Amino acid sequence: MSNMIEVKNISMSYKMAEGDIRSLKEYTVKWFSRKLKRIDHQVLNNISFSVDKGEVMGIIGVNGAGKSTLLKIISGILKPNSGNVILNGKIIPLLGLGSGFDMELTGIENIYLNAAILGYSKEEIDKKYNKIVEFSELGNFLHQPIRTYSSGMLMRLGFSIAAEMEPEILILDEVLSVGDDRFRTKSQKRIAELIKSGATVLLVTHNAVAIKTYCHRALWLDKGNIKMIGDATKVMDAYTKRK
Amino acid sequence: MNKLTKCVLKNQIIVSIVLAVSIILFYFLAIFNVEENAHSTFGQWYWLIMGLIFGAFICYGIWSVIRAKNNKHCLAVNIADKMIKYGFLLKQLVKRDFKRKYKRSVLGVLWSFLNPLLMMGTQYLVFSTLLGNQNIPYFPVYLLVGIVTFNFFSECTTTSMESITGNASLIKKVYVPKYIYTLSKALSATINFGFALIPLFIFMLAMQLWPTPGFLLFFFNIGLLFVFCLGLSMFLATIMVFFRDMHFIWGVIRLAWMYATPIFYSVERIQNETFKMVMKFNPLFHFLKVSRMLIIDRVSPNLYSYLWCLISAAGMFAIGCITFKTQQEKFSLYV
Repeated sequence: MSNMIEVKNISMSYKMAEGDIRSLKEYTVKWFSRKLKRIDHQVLNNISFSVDKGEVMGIIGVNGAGKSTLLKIISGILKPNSGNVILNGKIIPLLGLGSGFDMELTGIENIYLNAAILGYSKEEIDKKYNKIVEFSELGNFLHQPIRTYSSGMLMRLGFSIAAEMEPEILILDEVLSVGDDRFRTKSQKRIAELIKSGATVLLVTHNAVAIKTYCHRALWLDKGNIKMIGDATKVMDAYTKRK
Repeated sequence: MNKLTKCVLKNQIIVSIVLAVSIILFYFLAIFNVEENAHSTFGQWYWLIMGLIFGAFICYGIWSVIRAKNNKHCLAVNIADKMIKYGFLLKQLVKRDFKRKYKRSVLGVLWSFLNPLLMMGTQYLVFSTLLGNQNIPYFPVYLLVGIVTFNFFSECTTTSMESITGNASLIKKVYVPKYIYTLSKALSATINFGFALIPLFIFMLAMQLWPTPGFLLFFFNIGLLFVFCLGLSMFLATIMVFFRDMHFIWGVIRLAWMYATPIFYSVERIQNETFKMVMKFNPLFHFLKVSRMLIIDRVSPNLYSYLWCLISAAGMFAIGCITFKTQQEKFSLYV
């Protein structure tokens, strides 16, 4: 089994300045009043693991444990302070409902923009275009600007693109929970199909059932460290029983 | 030969041809035509220096194609790789900018063409008729060159400033080299500039300023202006991420810069000697001077003017690239 994702010694820390400085005025005032102390917040501490091709890895942990940061680093959005990530396939991250979309453009225009951002060419998108439209079930709403969409509709659009473009690596960060039960069943079925055809999935969720059903292995992230990694059911049970 | 090698080879051939043609044209248009001693002092060395540069470029080209074949990397291979990967995305981003800009307007794209025309009309009225004639020959064309150039500079820098902050949702989706966003805004501004050239040409022909072969150098000048604006855009886009009030500061600087550039007046009429000296450090002054000499006077300007343009463009581009590259990893955190 070849390694699809290799995470090597990832460490990440944020320098949090007191308060969020967004303008020159704030910066100057704070500089003068010497309030520019930077607090180092270690988000991830020397994380290493690997995921095989065709494996589904769940990532669990309390809020603030560093899960989203880890996913952002794996997707290439954030650069870690040290360590590196090796990806051996095309990745589609679904990290938030609005990411990769332009609110002023229509659904159709966004399909092309989103897929272009993910690295697909016009020919590849044209081939899958009808399937994406069909899967999303958004119908005529696709001609409306997506600022008029509900969160469920946004998720459908994002997920349809991911599902039909068939990535080798799929990253899901708690996005599927906004769908209604019918779409959720449909998307779960589609994910199962993708896994069968060899896709590698990284799943972040608090849903114990989902972890035990879909994941082969799971990783428990606690305050930036790997608390436990191994069989999904074992890790989930240990996590549920934590004090 | 795989896709990457083909792309590298194609790029090399195109750039080599453009470089060769430019070198030859530049000699006959710029050095040969100038009525100064530039020809005797620089002219002899020109062919030697340019020949060496061209030769070095061809060698680099052959080497990079070999590297591409062996799947190894170098600058030319990286550039070709990025073009293949992100070319479609760049097109999509530029398309999107146009759709957004003219979405609910009636005249749409015509504004890129009408705006400079209307501005020129207004400024012509004010500065020629109301404030008294300044005795600038071909004043409408003089004005248009200034307006069209400054509009490009203004639009490019102002829209690019928002290129990172405005594309937050795309940046947070997946990794894409962030300069693509700034580059797409600069390209949109260039296309608008293209439309704005139409009224300029109309007036040139109407006032019987038939273009000479030297006119080709105008496009070379515009190319340098593009590089200058791109560098400044990258610099401003970076600062904007960290200090959101840059928007307002730039508005003021831009206004001051507009008055410091001889768009609707002529430098000869300035009586303040210090101001005239400061003007020399305004890169836009040099770009305008070269453009106006090529279009209105129809001679090639002094080589020093070209040098100023080249150094401003290269220098600004370097500042922009360095600032952008060193800070870009922090963008996702602040955007």
